[in-house]
Amino acid sequence: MDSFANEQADGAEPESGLDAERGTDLADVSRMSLTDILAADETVLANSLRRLLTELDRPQEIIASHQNYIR
Amino acid sequence: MSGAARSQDVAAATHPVDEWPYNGVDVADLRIRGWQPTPFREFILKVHQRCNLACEYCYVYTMADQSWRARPPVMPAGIVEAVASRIAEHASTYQLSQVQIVLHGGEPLLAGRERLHHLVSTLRAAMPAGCDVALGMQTNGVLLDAAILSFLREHSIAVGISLDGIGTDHDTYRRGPDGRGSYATVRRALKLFGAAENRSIFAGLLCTINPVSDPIGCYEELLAYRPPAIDFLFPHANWSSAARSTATIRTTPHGDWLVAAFERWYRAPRQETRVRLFEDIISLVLGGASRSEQVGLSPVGMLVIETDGGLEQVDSLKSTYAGACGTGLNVVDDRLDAALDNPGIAARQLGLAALSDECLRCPVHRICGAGHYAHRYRAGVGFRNPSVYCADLRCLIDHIRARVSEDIAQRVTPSRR
Repeated sequence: MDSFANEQADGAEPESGLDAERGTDLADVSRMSLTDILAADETVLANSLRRLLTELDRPQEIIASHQNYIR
Repeated sequence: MSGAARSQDVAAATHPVDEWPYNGVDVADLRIRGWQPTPFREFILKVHQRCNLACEYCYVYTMADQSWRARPPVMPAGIVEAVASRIAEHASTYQLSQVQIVLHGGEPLLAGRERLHHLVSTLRAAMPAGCDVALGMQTNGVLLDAAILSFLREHSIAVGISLDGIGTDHDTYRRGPDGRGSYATVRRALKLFGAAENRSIFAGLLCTINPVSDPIGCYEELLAYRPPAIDFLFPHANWSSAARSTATIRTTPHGDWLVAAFERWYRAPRQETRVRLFEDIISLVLGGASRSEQVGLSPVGMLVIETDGGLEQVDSLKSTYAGACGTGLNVVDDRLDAALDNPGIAARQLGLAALSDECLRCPVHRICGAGHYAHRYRAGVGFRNPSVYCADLRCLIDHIRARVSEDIAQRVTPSRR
C-alpha cells in the first residue's frame, strides 16, 4: 500500500464534470443560523442538524457499529 | 508466538493471499509509519450457534461459509468467563468508559434464561470501575414472551427484532424449518412492546430490503409497532455471488425502494422514528460522520466472538468465502487487541485508503464509503472494489443530498439568502 492517509484521494482522477473536493458532496448549511436550527420543528432535518451540533459540541471519535441500531 | 504474529500467519494460511487486503495491508508497516488502530468498543457475542428459523437469505447458514457446523451450539461457561475477562482487560488497557455488547446468534434466546443470566452477570461483574456495559440483543422474536421480556428488563438488555415488512413480505424469506412463515409469531411478540414497562428495552426493528415489496407499506408496517429506530439492510451479495444478476447491476431496484421509503419518512411533519441508514447519510451530507458500517468512512470498532471463543471479523463476511471472518485467534489464548493486527480488521479502519481507485473518482465517495464491506468482495481481487450496490447507493445518496439541500435553502431566513 502506498499510503493510508487522506492524501490518497488527492491523486485520484475526479469523475468527469464533477469536483471531488470535500465541499461539493455536502449540503450547504453556511447560510443557516443557529437560531434557524434551534427554532426549528421536530422534522427529520431539524433533528439531524441538532445531532450534528451535539457532535460538534462534544467531539469524540465516532465508530461504525454492527449493522443493527442497538447503541 | 505472539497473538499478532499468529494472526498474520493465519491470515496467510486461510485467506486468499493474492486478494486485498491480504496482499496489500501490512499492519506492522502501517504502525511503523504512525498509524494507530482504533480499539474495539463493540463486541458481538455468538451465544448460540443455531437458529429456530431457516431464513432463505441468512448469511450464517445459506452462504459461502459453513463454519457454524463445527462450532459448539452454545457458548460454554468457560468461554463466557474468558470473554468477560478479555473484554475487561481490553476496557482497562484502552480506558474505555463504555463497551457495547450485543448478544447474537444464530438465535440468542435459544441459549435459555439460565445461561443468559450467567453470561450477563459474569460480564457485568468483570468490568473495571468506570466502564459501563450497554447490553443489546438481536433476535428473530419467535421466543419472545412476557417472561422473557421481564428477564430482559431485569438485566437492561435492549432488544432489536428482525421484521421484513407486512406479513406476506416477511414470510417470503423468514420461515421456519417446516416452511411456515414466522410473521404471526413475531407480530404477537412485537405487540408486547406496546406495554409501557417494555418500551425502555425496545431498541428497534431491522428490515432486509426486498425490492419487489411496497416500500411505503413496509415502512408503515414497521412504524405501527412504534419502534424507536429502524434500520434497512441491503441483502448480502457481492460481485461473485449468484444472488446479484447482471440485469440488476445496471438498474437500481434497491435504491429506488429506499428513495420511496426515505420520502415517506422524511416528509412526516414530525419525525416518526429514527431510520439509521437515512440519518447516517443525512449526517454525512451535512459534514458529520456515520455510525453504521453501511455508509461513510468511520473506523469499524467491533469484534465478533464465536461460541468456541474464536475472535472473528464481522459475521456478514460469511457471505463472501469460507473462512473469511477468521483471525486465528481465540479468547482463551489471546488478548482481544491482537486482532487489531489482522489485515482484514485493519482494512476497515483505514478510511479512504481502503477504497478502490474507481470509488475515489466518484464525487460521493466520502458519503458512500463504498458501502458495506461484504458487498465489495470480488473473488480474485478481494475487497477493494465499489459495492455491488454502487448504483443503488449513488441513487439514494444523490436523492438525499438534493432533498436536504433543497430543504435547507427553503429554511434559511430571507435576509440570509
